[in-house]
Amino acid sequence: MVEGPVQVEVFVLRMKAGRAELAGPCGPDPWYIELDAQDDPVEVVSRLSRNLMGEPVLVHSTSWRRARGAVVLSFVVVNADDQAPDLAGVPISRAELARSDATSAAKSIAAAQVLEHGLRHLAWLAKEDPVVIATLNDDWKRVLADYRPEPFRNLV
Amino acid sequence: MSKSSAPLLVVLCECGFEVRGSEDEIVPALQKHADESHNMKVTREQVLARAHPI
Repeated sequence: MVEGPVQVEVFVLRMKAGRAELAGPCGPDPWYIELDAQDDPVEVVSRLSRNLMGEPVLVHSTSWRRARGAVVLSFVVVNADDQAPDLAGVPISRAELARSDATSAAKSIAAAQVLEHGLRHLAWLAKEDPVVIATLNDDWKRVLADYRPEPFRNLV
Repeated sequence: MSKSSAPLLVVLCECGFEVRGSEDEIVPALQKHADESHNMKVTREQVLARAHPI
């Protein structure tokens, strides 16, 4: 249903009993948002997150790729531990990253691989970005310590 | 056509959101969901194009 040349794919995260889980409006599946030409992606993701689930702790873009006939911007939204309890959570599982060849894109990229990169990017921010360092709690920093830090990148 | 005899329709969003009811019930419900959850402005015709009789 979500169409258009630029789309946003959001992974909504929450901590439960010291373990990170996916807990967005679409359950374990990515949440897709359409962007108009004049839209600011961060503003739209923040506003829709706030309206649907309450004020997010952190909103951050983590990668982009071509998919779904569009440029897809991937975002991670971190909610507070007790936020939006009506949304069922699913524990996050690890995945191997999709890697491009030297001159060609990866043939397919699964949502779990996009999320894996998103968490690696969050791990990088948790070491490099003063705002993220000040925002994420100790549980998040402990979980992210298991991820190899990576900067923002194109996934294809 | 009276409301009681209006055909019931179902429309499903790709995110799993589903709404059932008459044409006049499903159109505003899906338009609200599309705007609030996906930043989309969808027309009545677009909703009905995705709808199926129950």
